[in-house]
Amino acid sequence: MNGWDVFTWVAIAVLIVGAVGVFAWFLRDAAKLFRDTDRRR
Amino acid sequence: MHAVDFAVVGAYLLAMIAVGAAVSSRITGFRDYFVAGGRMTAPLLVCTLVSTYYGLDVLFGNSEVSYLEGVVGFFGYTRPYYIAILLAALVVGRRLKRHDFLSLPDVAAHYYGNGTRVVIAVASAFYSLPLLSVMGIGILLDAAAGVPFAVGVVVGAGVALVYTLLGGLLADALTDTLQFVLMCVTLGIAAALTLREAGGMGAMQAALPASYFEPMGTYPVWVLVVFAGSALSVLIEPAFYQRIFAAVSYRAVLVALLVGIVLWAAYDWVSTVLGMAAAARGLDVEPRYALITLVLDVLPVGLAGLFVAGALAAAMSTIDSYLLIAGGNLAYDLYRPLVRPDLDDASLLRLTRWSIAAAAAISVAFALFFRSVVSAWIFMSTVLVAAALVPLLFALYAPWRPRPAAGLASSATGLAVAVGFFALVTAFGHDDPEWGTRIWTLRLGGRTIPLWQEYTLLFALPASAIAYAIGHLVGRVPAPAAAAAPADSGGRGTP
Repeated sequence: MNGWDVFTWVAIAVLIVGAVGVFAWFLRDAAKLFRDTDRRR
Repeated sequence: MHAVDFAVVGAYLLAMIAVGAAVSSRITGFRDYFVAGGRMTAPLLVCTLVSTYYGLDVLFGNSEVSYLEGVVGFFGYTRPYYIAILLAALVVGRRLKRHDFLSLPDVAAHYYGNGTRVVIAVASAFYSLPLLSVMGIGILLDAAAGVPFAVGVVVGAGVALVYTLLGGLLADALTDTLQFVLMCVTLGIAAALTLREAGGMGAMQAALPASYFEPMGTYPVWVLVVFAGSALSVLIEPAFYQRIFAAVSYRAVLVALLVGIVLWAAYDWVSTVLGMAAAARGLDVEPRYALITLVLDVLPVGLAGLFVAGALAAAMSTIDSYLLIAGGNLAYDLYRPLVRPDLDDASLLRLTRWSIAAAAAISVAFALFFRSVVSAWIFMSTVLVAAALVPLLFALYAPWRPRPAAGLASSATGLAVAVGFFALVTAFGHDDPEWGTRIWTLRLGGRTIPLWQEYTLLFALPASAIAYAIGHLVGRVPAPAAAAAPADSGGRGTP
């Protein structure tokens, strides 16, 4: 496995794990987002 | 595509409309609709920024360049964007968050008055017509599923239009979260499977010319300079501005952009590798179809449908956001200040929705009648940078008080030079099949000067800066009350 391979596999991992991680973070915050919206209304 | 793949794509499209319908009951006014009431959190911003800014043009564009030229697409073209985004995060975002603007032309109006607002609103609305993404959906559904181009264009733009009309930026951002996950995960899986089948990057190095792995490739140096310069468009990107105004805090903007840079870089590199893999595999296709042809070859049933849904997601997350901006520019930044300054909030909201529908209709019409819009897209982005970059950066960072004459002269001159240069290259230039662009060859004093259409900014930006200097010298400093403030419907321009 050369340097290009390592770079590419890291990018793939960042793309998949990063996207799922950000989505989980969003879900954790989503309740707060809608609670704030309801309070404003 | 198999029936299962069609079912996956259909389920995705229905889910997007359901989100729009669910959010629509939460919209109580223009500010709610256009900047989600200013309550977007960091993770929501990451999802909407990453998915909005990266559409099919990036996916197909990156892979097209790498299919033809190799890694230069990543190192020469996309890398300067990360530096510009970092600047936007650290410098521009902080300054903008001190105010309570709603749109890019709002910023111009605050510092220079309504004349500059109008010029920048016209450029922004024009730039925001999502022609390339609308066309991309037609091409994608045609290539992947045999859906006629016109049907694909109308269905893709229609679904994005429906949920954007219903729920505004909040629906846009919430659908962006699903689209963000889909586009990133499906691309990552496709790359992993493709790389394994191709035998890794080592096998690609053996199959491709050595120039494919040279970071700066074989492009002329001036083209690389223009590529790097085009990254400045990030500093006046309307979708970035709208999300900065919609953020709950500056900290949320900063975190979102820093996380976004990592994800954008990964997305760029993976799509670059897929283009090279298509070349290494010996696929003989039109370069912009290289990625989709390769991926559909490699992925099994079900995953292929998921990838098409992911690519649709990349396009639709761009279409919805820019339709919203174009509609807002027409209703909030042009009609309201020019025709009906006393327009009430409910009427403004209604008019914005009609304007979004009009922007969608124009985009679909262009996509159907003009199959080749790549040069049109270059023109659209150039127009916005030429009209807005100089006056807005001076307004935000120059130590002196902005003068309306400087803003108007700079934006109008930048716009005029960009349009003029592009018209000249179109009229007197020729299509160059090798570089896939239009070039006007000038002969001056025995020397030959090739002027690419991409060089527009090299003329428009200096002209805009000179006009700013002249306007600043001859213009007068306005009385404090003369500076136009953002609209009553939410905006409260801070002096």
